[in-house]
Amino acid sequence: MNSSIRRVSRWLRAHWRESVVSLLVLVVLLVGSEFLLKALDVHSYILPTPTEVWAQFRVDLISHLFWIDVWTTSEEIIFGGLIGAAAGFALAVLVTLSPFVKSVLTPYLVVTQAIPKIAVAPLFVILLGFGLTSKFVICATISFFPLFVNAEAGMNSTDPDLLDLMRALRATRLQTLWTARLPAALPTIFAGLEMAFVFSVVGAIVGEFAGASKGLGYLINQRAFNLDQAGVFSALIVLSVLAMLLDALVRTVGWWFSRWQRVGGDVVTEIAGNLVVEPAARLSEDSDVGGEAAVSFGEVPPLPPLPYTDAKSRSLEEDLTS
Amino acid sequence: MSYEIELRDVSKSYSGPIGVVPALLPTTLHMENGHFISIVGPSGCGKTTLLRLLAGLIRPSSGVITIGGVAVTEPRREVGFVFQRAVLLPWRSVIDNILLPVKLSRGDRRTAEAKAKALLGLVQLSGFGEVFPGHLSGGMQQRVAICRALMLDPGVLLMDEPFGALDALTREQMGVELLNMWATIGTTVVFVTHSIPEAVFLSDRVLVMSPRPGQIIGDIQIDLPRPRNSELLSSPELARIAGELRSMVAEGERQPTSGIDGFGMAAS
Repeated sequence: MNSSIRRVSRWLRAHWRESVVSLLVLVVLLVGSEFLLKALDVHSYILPTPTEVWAQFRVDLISHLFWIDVWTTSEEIIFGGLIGAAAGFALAVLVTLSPFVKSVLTPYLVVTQAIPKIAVAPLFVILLGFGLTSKFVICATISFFPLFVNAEAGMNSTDPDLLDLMRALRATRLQTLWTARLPAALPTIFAGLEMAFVFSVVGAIVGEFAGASKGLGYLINQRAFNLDQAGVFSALIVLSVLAMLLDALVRTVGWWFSRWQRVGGDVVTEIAGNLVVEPAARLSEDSDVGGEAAVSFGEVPPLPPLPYTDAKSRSLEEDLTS
Repeated sequence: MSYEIELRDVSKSYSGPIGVVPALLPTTLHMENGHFISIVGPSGCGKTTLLRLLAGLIRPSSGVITIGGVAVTEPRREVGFVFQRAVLLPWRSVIDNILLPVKLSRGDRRTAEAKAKALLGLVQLSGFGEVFPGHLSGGMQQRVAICRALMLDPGVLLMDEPFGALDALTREQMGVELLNMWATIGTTVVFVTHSIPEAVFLSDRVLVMSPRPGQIIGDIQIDLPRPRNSELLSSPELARIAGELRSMVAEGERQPTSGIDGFGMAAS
């Protein structure tokens, strides 16, 4: 945790110019559009000024009804997305374990994958009503495929040498999946999960457009219909923040699960009876890399006496530490 | 328990687009228990095929292979295999990697852990148990792979060019360490390599194979005294034996000794 904070602050120190200019661009855009829209006397129902949006935004933030809408859409995105993702993953596991199931299901999967789920949204609303159920189903179907495709591809592209190893160790198909295929595929699976939630956001909004009684999409639709553009922007802001938070969450979890991929370059050697990690030399502009202290793994027990070593055949570690 | 290896008329062919390709001609072999046997030959001579047949990873097209009197039809607990690449699971620590065979055969982890640590000591990696494979050099990874192969007390250890991916200096060091380790463990070792000096240095017996199609063309005993140290690598004795083997290999590459070449067509 501390090292991540250090790393971020180090990055900020090195890249402060970019950060300042970025912020400046935003400020210029906001101030510029404010003056431009006022000067050109643009009606607020075509394009609202930033101050008008901000005013509506403040009203929304303390409005109880607004938060009900936010929560409704969040529910649809998160739970619908999770259900679809879980189903996609489960099917990918099934298909990997059983070639028979794979050949039976493939034609159906290919067909349903090709259909744009957004186009089917109105159908679901008619079938399942204006309530949450239809949106859950829409979000589930739309988030099913990224996960299924990624999980299946990830688990099917395992290192063939690793699969050979599993065979040599007499692992069952399930064991091979759990110990070899699945861990290796986790980075790909999390990339799929990220996609799934991005799609799920779209699915929830489109579902609400098709027919709903509450939610952010419903709100956007209503406000647009009533020419309340400031209101539309306000809802959009909240929706975007929601989507970004979700994405960041999934990204962080995925990042944590693929820690092992980022190991490497650092070499562990034995120095004076202790194991020490020597961090890899990094060729970045960050000049204070030396702050990363060597991590000690603790004391090494003495080596057992070897039967046939002579003075000439020293171990590699001895050569490194002498 | 004796783990004598016996091959009776064992051959392997693959059916390819051009017809049947013989990877290994019918071979009959007997390997004594507890010996260190190397198989040398150029690429494509069938040495890896032979090793994989012994491991049970592939089935012979004809003939029978027995280890310890029991026929080999699939990978067996009594046979350990070390691949050319270490193939460690990068998301598990060194000790968890060594314990993988125990985990897969649903053995008791606690009792096995002491043994795993002892094996680590044997390959001079004591204390590296909690380190992750990404932190290890190629030589260290291969040593962990050897520990893993020895975890279930195999009677036979099969090694498919295990030092092939390492640089020449590390290779020599690993050879000496392998002999040290083998002196303590005492399993039968079948070691495939394309390095003739390495084969002579390590083994009691060297089988020479030639390609097109794969077959054994030479079989010599190495009478160099044990224990062998690295000085032997530059001795005239070793050079002489290596020279003998080298001419055998060259002979084998020049004339295919059967009427069929690697493409399944009659030789002209």
